[in-house]
Amino acid sequence: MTETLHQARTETVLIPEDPRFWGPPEAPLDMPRQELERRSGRFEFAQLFRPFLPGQHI
Amino acid sequence: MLAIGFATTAAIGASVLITDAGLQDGFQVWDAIRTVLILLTTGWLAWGAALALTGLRPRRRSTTIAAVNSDAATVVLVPICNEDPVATFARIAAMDRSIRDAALKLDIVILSDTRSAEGQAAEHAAYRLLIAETGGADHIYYRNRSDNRGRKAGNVEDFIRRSGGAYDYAVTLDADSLMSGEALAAMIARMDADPKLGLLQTLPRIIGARSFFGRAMQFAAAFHGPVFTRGLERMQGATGPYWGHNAIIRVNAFAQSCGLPELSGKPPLGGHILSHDYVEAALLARGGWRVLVDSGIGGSYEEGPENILSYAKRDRRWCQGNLQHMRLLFAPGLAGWSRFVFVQGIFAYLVSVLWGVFLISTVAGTVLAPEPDYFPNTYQLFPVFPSDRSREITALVLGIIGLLIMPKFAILTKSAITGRTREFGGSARALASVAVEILLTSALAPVMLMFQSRAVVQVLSGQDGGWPANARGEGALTFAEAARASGWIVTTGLIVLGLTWQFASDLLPWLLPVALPMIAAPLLISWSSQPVGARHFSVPEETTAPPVLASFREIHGRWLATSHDSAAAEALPNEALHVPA
Repeated sequence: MTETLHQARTETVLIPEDPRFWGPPEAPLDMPRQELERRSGRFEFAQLFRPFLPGQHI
Repeated sequence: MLAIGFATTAAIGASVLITDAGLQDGFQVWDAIRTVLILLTTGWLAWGAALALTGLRPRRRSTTIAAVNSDAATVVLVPICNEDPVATFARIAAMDRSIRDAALKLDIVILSDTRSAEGQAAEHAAYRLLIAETGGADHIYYRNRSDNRGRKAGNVEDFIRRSGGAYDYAVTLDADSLMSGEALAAMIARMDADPKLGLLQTLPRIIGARSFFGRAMQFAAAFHGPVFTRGLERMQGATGPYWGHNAIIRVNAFAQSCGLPELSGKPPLGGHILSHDYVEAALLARGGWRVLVDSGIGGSYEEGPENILSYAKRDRRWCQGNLQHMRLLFAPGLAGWSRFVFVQGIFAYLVSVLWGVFLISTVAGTVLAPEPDYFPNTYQLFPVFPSDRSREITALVLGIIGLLIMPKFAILTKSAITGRTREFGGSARALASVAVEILLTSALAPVMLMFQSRAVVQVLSGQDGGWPANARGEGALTFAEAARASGWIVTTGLIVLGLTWQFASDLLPWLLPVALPMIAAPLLISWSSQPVGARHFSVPEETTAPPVLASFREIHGRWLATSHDSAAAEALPNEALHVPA
């Protein structure tokens, strides 16, 4: 979309009266929730090693 | 590694000096406390100095990539909540003009979280002005969210869930952000050139400052900021920072990696993640995406706080957000550097408390020190005097001051040699600006220490400060306003001075640089918030205003005049009359 279309872009000043129709077109994208903390709040010994083993799923 | 070595050496050196001095009158618990505190605080200062020194090295190669026509679909996102719509939408009009001048075709989406009917009406009126100005009804969109879940991060997430599939890249802005078309083209080119680049952060320059304080911060950001950021670029590598705005993200990577959960428990440490940007950068890196910062991309601007109270208010929000990261230090799969960034963010606020405790323990240690034992042995003819360690302590203080100001003078020296100071009004004026900025920040340091310490205590004691809208454009403060907000700092300063005078008068000269600014806090806050001329703290953007900034000022001025002009206002929709000036 970032092509050289300066001349091609038409000037449009007409917008619907109702602001509910001013939004961008819909194109849904999934955004899964990330895991950031343990489900249980209890201490786990493996936690101690995480800072020293970056990127490892422990 | 050199930086870590430098910070460690400085921290250990300072600890040895203070331990040696403390042991002269025997070991007390205060000595141990002071040793640990000086280790941490000096290490922190040295780390900051190392960052600047690392940034002083010239770039090995240019990362500039020529902007070419791109097939990527890019959207510019402007999340807003209770902002001044005239100024915000005028910035968008100026950016749209600059985008066209750069022969780009981008969509712009205003994502409003404003709840009040009056605020929404003002935004609607400003949107109509924006469309009339730009003719951009086909690519400038506005939507107001009915559910404000997740604040700004939730606002962007809501957009990605609904419309993210239409775009390859999204440029995230703040309401006060301004970016040129050339900057956007350069960012898109960088994303096109590196398919594993998940996020590219620019270093926004502060613009539009009018007060003494604001202009000092603006100068520091322009003069020192790029060097510190270059140091950060080198240290963080592909696990770089995200500051939440003036950055470009790869939408798919962001959607895959950055769906933020609510943290268990209640605020301030639970609930929505407040400083979401740091976490999103860490999650992108966890997902295998590169996160880079590039201080070399020009044409990226934002506005800053105009007075110390606005600065402290923003700091309160950031403090809560950063301390919340304590919950995330052991999150699974994060890169080591991402965890270290969290630690740095937490420490940036804890360090104020540590300095405060250091000062208290120093006074307490002196007051509670046992009488010197001049005859420690039973059969001793001559007394044994504790050796004087004043020189060592003076060396320690000078060393700490050196860590604070040495990087700034190193940047000044290099800038004078390379001719960069010409952009700041010449070497003499740049020297004056650096010196005055150091004096101002030194005088304000005890005041900021108090505000930050209070913020930390509030957060750790469970007080949720929320995430109120930015109070942009707050200007000059009267003495009475400053006194109301800082009376507790004055009282604390007087108590510290009185107690020291009474119980440890030897320490008075050492504590005066801390206590006097606290007592003078209302004066400092009020005085530094007053407008000053452009002769003070000259920055390049004032010598020659960038086209996008000139456009913004022209459009903003015209819109304001229109909203005040009754004849013209009759031609506008009714809501425009409610647009606040």
